[in-house]
Order: sequence, then C-alpha cells, then structure tokens
Amino acid sequence: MARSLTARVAAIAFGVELVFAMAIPLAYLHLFAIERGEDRAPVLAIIAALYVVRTAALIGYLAWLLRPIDRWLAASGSSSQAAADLARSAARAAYDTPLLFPIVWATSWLLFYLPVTASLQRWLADQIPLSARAGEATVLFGLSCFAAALPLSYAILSWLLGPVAGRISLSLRERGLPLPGRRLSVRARLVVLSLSLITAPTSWMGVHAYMSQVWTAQRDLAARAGLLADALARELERSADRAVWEAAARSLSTPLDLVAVATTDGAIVVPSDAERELAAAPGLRPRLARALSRAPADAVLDPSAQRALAYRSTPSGAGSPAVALVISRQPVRDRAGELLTLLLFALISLSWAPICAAFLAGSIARPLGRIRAVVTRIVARGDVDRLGRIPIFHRDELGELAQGVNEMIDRLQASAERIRRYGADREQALAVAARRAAELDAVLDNMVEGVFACDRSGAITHMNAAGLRLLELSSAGAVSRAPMEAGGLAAVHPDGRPFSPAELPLLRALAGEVIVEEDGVLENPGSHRPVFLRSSAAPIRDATGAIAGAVAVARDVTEVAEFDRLKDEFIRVAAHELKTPVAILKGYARTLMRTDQMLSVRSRRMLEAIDRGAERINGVVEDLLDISLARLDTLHLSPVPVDLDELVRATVAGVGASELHRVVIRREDPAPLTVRADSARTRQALGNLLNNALKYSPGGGTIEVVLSSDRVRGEAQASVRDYGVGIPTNRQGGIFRLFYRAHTDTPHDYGGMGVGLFMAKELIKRQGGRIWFESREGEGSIFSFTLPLA
Amino acid sequence: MQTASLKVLVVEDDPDLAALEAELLEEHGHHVEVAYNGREALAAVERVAPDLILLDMKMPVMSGREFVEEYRRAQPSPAPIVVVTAADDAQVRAAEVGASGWIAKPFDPDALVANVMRLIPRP
Repeated sequence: MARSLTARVAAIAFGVELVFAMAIPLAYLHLFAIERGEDRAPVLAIIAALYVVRTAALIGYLAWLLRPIDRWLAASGSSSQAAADLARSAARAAYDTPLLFPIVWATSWLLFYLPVTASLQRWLADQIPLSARAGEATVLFGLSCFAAALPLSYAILSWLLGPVAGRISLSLRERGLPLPGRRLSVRARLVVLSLSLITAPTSWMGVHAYMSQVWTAQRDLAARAGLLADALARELERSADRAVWEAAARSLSTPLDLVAVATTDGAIVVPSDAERELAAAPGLRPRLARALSRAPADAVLDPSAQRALAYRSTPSGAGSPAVALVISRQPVRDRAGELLTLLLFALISLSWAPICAAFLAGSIARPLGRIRAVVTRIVARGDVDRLGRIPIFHRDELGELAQGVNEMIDRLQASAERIRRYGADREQALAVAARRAAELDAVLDNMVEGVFACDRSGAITHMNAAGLRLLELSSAGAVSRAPMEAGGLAAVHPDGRPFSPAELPLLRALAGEVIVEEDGVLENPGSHRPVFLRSSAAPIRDATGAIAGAVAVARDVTEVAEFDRLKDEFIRVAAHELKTPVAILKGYARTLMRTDQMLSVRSRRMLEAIDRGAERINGVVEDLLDISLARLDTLHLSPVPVDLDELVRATVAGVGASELHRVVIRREDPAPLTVRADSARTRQALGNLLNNALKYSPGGGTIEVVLSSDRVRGEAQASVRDYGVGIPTNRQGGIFRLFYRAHTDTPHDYGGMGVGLFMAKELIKRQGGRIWFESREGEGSIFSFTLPLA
Repeated sequence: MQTASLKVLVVEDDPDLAALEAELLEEHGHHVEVAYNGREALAAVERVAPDLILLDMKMPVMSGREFVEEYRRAQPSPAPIVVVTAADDAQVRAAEVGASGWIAKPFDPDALVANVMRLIPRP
C-alpha cells in the first residue's frame, strides 16, 4: 500500500478519465463531420499519440507531487526532526495536490484539441466547414472539456488523498506541529464546482449550436458554391477541352455539391449525370435560365434555403460559351449520427456528474461522518477516554471543525484527567483522614482521661470511652446536648457548690477561656459515688481564629483526691495527737523551772532545752494543723474590722528580731487603715513574711514594712521588703506552693518545711486579698499582700 | 495574788496532763478532783460540786460535749467550764458548748493558772 499510493491514485484517476477520454474523440469527429473512414484514421492516431504523451506527462507530474507522501509512508515510525519535516512536506503534498493538480489536468484538456484541429486543417483542407471558424469551435470544445475535467479530477484526488492527509494530520498532531498547505474553503470549492457544472454542458451545447450554425449558414452555403464556381471557371478559361472540363468538374464535386458546365441557356454539358440531378430538382432550371439572362456571374439561394446556386459565365474564346455551374446542397442531417452524439453526451453527462458528485460528496461526507461519530460517542458515553482524534482530510471549514473537535477532546481529556487526579487525591486524602481519625479514636478511647468535644452551639460532638465511663454512659448514643443531665449527674465544686451550666469547663472554653487542671466533683445519685475530676479545656479555633468548638479533658482523680484527703486527715489527726504530749513536756518543764528553786544550773539548762525542743515540735504541729485546715478546706476565718497599723505593729513586735536586724514600719497613707480581716490569721500571714525576711537576711540589716492603700480598688497593701539573698529567677515559679523551698540545696538553705508562704497565700486569699512578690538574687525580695478595706 | 481555795474538777483522759493540771492548781491552793472521761466527771460533779471545771473535749467513753449536755441537764446551776483542747478552733468549740473560757493545748502553765484565776466566780 505504502509503495503503491502514487500508482493507485494515478490508476484510479486516469482510469476513470480514460472512459471519458475515449468518448470525447468520437464527439470531436462528429462535431467536425469527419465521417469518412480514411479521414478518421489519421485524426484518431494523432489524438491517441497526443493522449499518451499528455497522460504520461501528467502522471509524471503527479508522481513528483506525491513523492513526499510515499516517502512519509515508507518512513513512518521514525521520530527525528527529519521525520517531522517529512511529515510536514507530505501533508503539504496531500493537501495541495487536489487543489493544484486538477488545474493542470483540466488545462491539458483545454489545450488538447487545438493541435488536432490545426493538423486537421492542414490535411483535410478541402473539408469546407473546417475552414470556417474551426479555431473558435475547438476552443469552445476545449473549454467544455476543461470544465468537465476540473471537478472530476478534484473530486477523485481529494477523495483519494483525503484519508492519507488525515493520517498525516494525526501524526503531525502527535508531534504538536501545525498543519501546512493551502486552505480552500468549501464555499470556494462549491462555487468552482457549480461554475464547472454550468460551464461544461453550456459550452458543449454552445459548440454544437455554433457548428450547426456554420453548417446551415446560408451565406456560407452561397459562398461555398461561389468558391467552387470560381474554381471551375478558372479551368474553363484555361482549356476548351471537354474532357478537361469534365475532369475538373468531377474533382470539385462533393456529395453535397453539384459541379457542372452548362450552356448559357441552362443545358448541362458535362458531366452527364449532372443533368439527372438538375432534372430531379424541378424549377431549378428555369430559375437558372432567368439568372443567366440577368447577370453573367452570381450566386443565388434557393428560397427554400436548401440549395445555393452559383454560376460564372466565361468569355468563351474557344467554342460555345459555357457556364460554370455549382449547386450546393444543404447537407442532409445525419439523424442517426446526431442521436448517437446526443446519447453519447447523455451517457457522459449521466456518468460524469454523478461521479463528480459521488467523489465530492464522499470527500465532504467522510470528514463530517468522522466528526459526527466522535461527537455521538462523546454524547453517548459521557466521557472522552480512549477517544481517537479526527483526521483532517481537507484544509477547509470541515477540517477546521474537526480540528476544533480535536482540541475540544484534548481539553475534555485534560479536564477529565484533572478530575480523575483530583478524585484520586481526594480519595487518598480521605483515606488518610479516615486512618488518622481511626488512630485518633483508638488513642482517645485508650486514654485514661475523658475527652469531650463540642461544636459552636455547645452540642457534644465527640466523647471517648473514658468520657463515657466518667459520665457512666453506656454508649455514645446517650450523648446529648447536656451530657451531665443525661447521666443524671450533678457537677459540684470541691466545696460542694453546684456548677451552673455556664461554669462547666467545656462551655467556658467555648467562651474563649483556657482552663488548666481545675477540680470538680461529679455526683451521681445512682451510684452514690462522687467522682473527682480534674479538668482542662480549651477552645478550638478555625483558620480565621474564630471559635469553632471546644475540647475538654477530664481526669478521674478520685483516688488521688481520696489519698490526698487521707493524707490531710492523717496530718490533722497526727498533729492533734502530738499536742497533748507536747503540752505535757512543756508544762512539766516550765513548772519545774519555775517552782523548783533548788535546780542546779545544769538541770535548768537541760529543762530549758526540753522546753525549746517542745516549742519547736509545737511549731511544726501548728504548721501541720494549718496545712490540714487549708487542705481540707476547714479553715474558718472570722473577718472583722481591724486596724492594720496596730496589727502590723503587734506582729513586728512579736517576731524574734535579733540585734542584727532592724524592722521599720513606713506608712505611705497617713489616714488610718482599717481592713476587714481575721486578726490572728493576718498576723500569722504577715509573721510568716517577716520571718522569711529575717531568715534570708543572714547578714542582718533593715526590714521594711510599707503600708499603703488604694481607695479606688478599696484595698490596703502591706509590703515586706528585705535586702537579703533574694530568690534566683529560675526558682521563683513555685514559691507559693506547699513544701516548696526555693533555697533547697543552696548555701542559703536555712531549713524549714516550705509552709510559710503557702499559708500566707492561703490566708490572704481567703480574706479576699492578693499576694505577690518581686525578687532579685543577691538584692533581696519584696513580698506584698492586700486586704479589703473595711 | 492569793485567792480563796476552790474546788476544781479536771476532766482529762491523759493522766500525765491531768496530773500536771492538778499539780499547777493545787500549787495555788485549790482543791483538785480528777476525772478521766465524761462519765467519771458526771459522777464527780455529783460528789464534789466543783466551783470550776477544766474540761478536755476529746475523751473516750464520754466526750466533753456529751458531758456538758448531761451536766447542764442535771444541774440547775452549773459551774463555769473552761475548755482545754488541742483543737485548732478551741474558741469556737468553747463557744459551742457555752464554756466560760478556753485554753489551747499545749498551754503555758502560767497561762493556765491565770486563766483559771480570771474565771473564779466572785462571791
């Protein structure tokens, strides 16, 4: 197939043409009325030779034009730059050849019969009609051939080369190369086609009409007769020999022309058979006689226009005067021949037009069919996968439509691919999200802490297994808007106050609060087992920072709380139990010291040591009792209006300041400061601060107690300032924590249980005050607290 | 400052502490009777009709509170009571039982005596 493309195109194209090419000479011969066999033979020979030469040249040209296609077909598969160039030139050949070649081809038909006619005039000069306007007739004839050949050749070539062009276009498309070649719109092609369809029969009819007019023109008939008469008259003047006359007359005679020598009165001299012809035409002889009597030389027409009569009377020097007489007859129309021509023409037209139409329709309908098929598949399947591209057969509107559809498919496939990729990505993301969610669920469900999450409206969206256990719910189905109520549970503060809904950690977090380790108690009337919870909660914010929900984590600290309570209880009981023995120790020691005057110095010193030891134990016992009171929340304070000045003075006086220290009270507010406080407990707190100040000023120095007030806030402030060792920055964090000792394992570890500041904080807080400090290592500390003004 | 001798009932479960209290008071010339719990104390008040009672709150058999209730019920004109307790809120406890005074354990011997003196009913 690849090798034979040119051959196939040439074979089909010229094969189809050959049918017509064989019919056309017959029409030609008939047109010029070359009817004698001996005349036809040379004409046909010339035509055949010309045809062979012309066709060979055309095939050569066609082969040259189509060579790139053959090369491309042979080389298809390679993918170099050279192959791209090859494809481009092949495409150019495939698109341009159906446009260019038919013009050459049809032009060859336009010119084909001109040399034939020229040679006819040379060889068949005596054929009178040929002399008259044979050139124009041949041009008209050629034009009709041209008009017939143009659409036929275009239709054949575009039909044959369209599919090849389509294949090349797909190959170019794969390489992303634009389509070369000339564009010819369908409209232009249809205009040329219709012009050809009009021109071919019109000029054919025209040449026929023209020739028959030549044949029938009266003037021509008379002129012919005159011409023949002049020729005979010249012979008559040259010789008086009758035999010569007869020979001349016979040689000039044709089947249509009676050439004879007559006497001036109209009698035929030679040839003898002319007499018979004249006799066959009654009325001619008297007309001849009348004519001869009027003029010596003339040509007249038979009124019926069937005959022309010409005569020349010669000055007869030798013998009787003679008249050269010619009667030209209108040729008898060859009815059968005309019918044959018509039939031939009809056959040619009948085959030519449908063949043109079929080829052309094929070349238009095939691309349209491809486009329709693709569009139908897109519509029917709804997707564009595995859809081939439409080959572009011709560079015209249909080709552009196909190209448009191709680009549409490209776009659709690209977008389908995008969608598929997006879908795959999304599925993967969903799978990852699902796995994460499962992991998270597993983690959450295996957590000891209960985890609760709610949305913006406060509705619970998630509760893990521990959360369900905490709330004594069996399943997440029981989760509702108010999970506490769902479980018949009541949340209370550690001191027994019930939680209002707005106090629940989750709902507070929803309002933006971050809650860290806050204690609460869940009381469940069903099980009568209160659950101690330590909850943290935080809002969940979306990308814009708006609160989208909240999450709370609650730990069941019932055991810890119970243990803690036991520990505090133990401390309390132990401290209590210590009090009596301490009282005995102290009591006896002091009683002995006081009452027994006979004690030796040594014994007295021992008793004093016992008393001091007992006092220290008592101090520890007091501390422990205070701790247990604070921890068990059984510390009872009785706030009453107290004069802060006096309270401070009394406290300062009570602390055991050594001679190294000087405690100074400074007042910033001259007005009396009456605070609402429990006097003893406030003294205890202040005493703790003072004791610390003294303890951590080992080198002695001034301790300042500064009193001030903020009437706007309604509070009085007392600050205890020392210039002692200070607290290292990294140890300042837990300073108010129970048993925290900032100076543990430092040179400034002066002992103690780490209770003083804790108690000070507890006592001040419980009286509605605040306590804080500032400290710098090596420079000293300021501990301040406030109390509400009375 | 010597005053009239009084009959004092010391109610204290710890014998050593009871002995100390008794010692201190007797030293000041008071007559001391000791009971080791509430029930003994009830018997003692019947027997001696004390002018003053030093009462420990936490005792076996019968606590100080129970004793006060019983005592008040049985005695139309009860003697003043001084609560001697280790409880941290001694004052509150004392107020609860309607005591005339309170002494927190551990006490200073002089403070005990002074407290008792202060409470001696003036004839």
